[in-house]
Amino acid sequence: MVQGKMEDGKLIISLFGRIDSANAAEYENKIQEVVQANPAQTIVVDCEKLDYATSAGLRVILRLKKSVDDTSLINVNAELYEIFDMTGFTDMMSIQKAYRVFSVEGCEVIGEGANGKVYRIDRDTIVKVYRNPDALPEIQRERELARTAFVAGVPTAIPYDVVRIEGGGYGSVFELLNATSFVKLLIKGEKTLDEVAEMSIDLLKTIHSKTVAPDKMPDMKAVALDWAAFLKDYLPAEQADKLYALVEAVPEDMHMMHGDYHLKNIMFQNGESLLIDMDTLCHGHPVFELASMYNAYIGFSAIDKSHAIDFLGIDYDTCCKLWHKSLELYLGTTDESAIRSVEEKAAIIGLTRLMRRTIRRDGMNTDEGRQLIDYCKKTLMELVPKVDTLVF
Amino acid sequence: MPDLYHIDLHLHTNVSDGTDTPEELLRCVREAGIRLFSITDHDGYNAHEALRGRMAEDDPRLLTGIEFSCKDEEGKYHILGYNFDPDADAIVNVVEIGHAYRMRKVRKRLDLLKEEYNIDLPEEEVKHLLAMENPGKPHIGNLLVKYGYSETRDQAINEIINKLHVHSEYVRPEEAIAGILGAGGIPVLAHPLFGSGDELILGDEMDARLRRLMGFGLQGVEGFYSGFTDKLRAQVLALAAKYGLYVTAGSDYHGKNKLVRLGDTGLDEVTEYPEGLTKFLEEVGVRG
Repeated sequence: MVQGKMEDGKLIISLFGRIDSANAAEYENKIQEVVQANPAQTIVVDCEKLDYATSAGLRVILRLKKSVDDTSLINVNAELYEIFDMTGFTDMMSIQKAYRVFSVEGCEVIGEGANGKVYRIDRDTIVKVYRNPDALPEIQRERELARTAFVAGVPTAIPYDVVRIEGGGYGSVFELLNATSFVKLLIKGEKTLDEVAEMSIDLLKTIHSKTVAPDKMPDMKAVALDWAAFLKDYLPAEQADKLYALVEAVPEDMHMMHGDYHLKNIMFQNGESLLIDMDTLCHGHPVFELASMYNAYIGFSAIDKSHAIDFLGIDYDTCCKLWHKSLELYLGTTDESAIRSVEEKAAIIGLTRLMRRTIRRDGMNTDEGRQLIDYCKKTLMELVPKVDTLVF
Repeated sequence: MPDLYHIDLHLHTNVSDGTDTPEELLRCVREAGIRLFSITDHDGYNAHEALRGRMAEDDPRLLTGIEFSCKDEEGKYHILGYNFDPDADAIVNVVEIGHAYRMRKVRKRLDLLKEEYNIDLPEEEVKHLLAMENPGKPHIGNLLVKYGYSETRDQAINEIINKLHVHSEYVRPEEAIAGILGAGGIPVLAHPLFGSGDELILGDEMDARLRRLMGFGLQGVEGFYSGFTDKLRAQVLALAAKYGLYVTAGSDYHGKNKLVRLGDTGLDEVTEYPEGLTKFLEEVGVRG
């Protein structure tokens, strides 16, 4: 019924079975025996084996919390967690849900985003595993972003559960029936490059048509200004100042953008496109979106062309075609000079980010890093003087 | 205002399932600095009778009280009654009905203990038990421990008494409410949201339950209760405000039986008494 043990100065109380009014007093007496035998400032109640608590059981927990303020609950099953949430216990004390444990060993990687990898567990279940081992707040944040996008009318998969990953970390679970990533459609030849580009740009336009409340998502321009400011130490003053001024002159824009938009982040389900990676959602002028797409398709592979196949699973040439077709569709023109002009604007922001990122990741100390930094610098010094505005 | 009256209007003595005698409880109330209290034993108010005439002039004010266990087709309810005339037929009759039900249940339990477990308690003890105001499972449990049938009272209740199939009869909520009103008292729903103790009744369901009981004449809710979180208390207070009900505050202290601290009502969490509580205090003659 009740077991207690001391661990690192904390009293761990494990509860078993079901607490209701018939046995609440007995539970309470046993808990008090344990508490009196192990005086502690901190109590952690392990609910792994606690099946259920009626409201009489909730009051036992409440009284324990009142007697020792630093009392928290861990491994609470989903049903009980919901009750604790409804009754305001979660506002009052730390209550951690019990997470199912998933193994992703040997599972197919079907997508990759800024903060994690997406695996297929079985035909209908996919799980996004976060790189950060302590990703619970991040998962919560992404869930909120996904919900905001969903409510705004962007086709988005919303995770239905959070799981612990065997070997460490957490994942969000999605149920996607018969879903395939866009990149897979292309590789398998189920869709042509033009079809895939068209579907992805249609979805992108849907995203860009939504406006967001200022406090819901970060402002991409503010982020890009940080990137430009960083390069002041690495570019000649004239170019650096102009670069900063160009970013600063981009008008405020409350339209939603994805922030990491490429074929690996879009799923195809029952004839519809669906976004799965929402942690980079923000708002801003579309040039910032095109900049991140430029990097995904072109920038990252500028020096090492094999990067494209490693990252997206498609070769560099295909990436170049996809990028060009995407621009053509997004801008609604086949006029090469118009396309080239927007490409240059996207490249300026994309390479600013890439140069900073490579420097910050110790790129100065590797051959490939130095080459990439030099390439970014050379291209920026060539493009920045040519361009009067980043807006199109 | 909040410091003016330290109150606890939901307390039990050993007249029902608490452990303190009425005198012990009075001592605890004095020590806790409570100024207004009510003893709300289940289905009876003999504790109040026991203290009548024993209170000193500067003692905290004692309000007559009772907690009826009620049931109808819709569920179970605990209904508190306050400030009634203890000698009025209206409430005496309901207490007698409840007492008769309870005694029938005790006799049935004793019969079944004999039939199913061959447990024969000494005649003297049975006589004493049946002479109590409100004997119940805890009292029978104590006897089973005393005569070596169980290690602890909890064990006796869970492993023996709860296994006896005894049909329970209850006073209906409208009977309890009418009895309290007929004796000039105020009927109040105890620990709303928790039903008779195990349930969790929230949102529309609670609203509907309250409206039903108001149809019988219910006038108040126990808005401050030791078992409420801030969120639950806010729900009850919102309902009280919506329907203009009286608000009371009680800990449900049972002495050593439960770890509820006397005076723990959550009233110290608020900076202002809700209107329903102020009105209740005025109604029972306490000036703010």
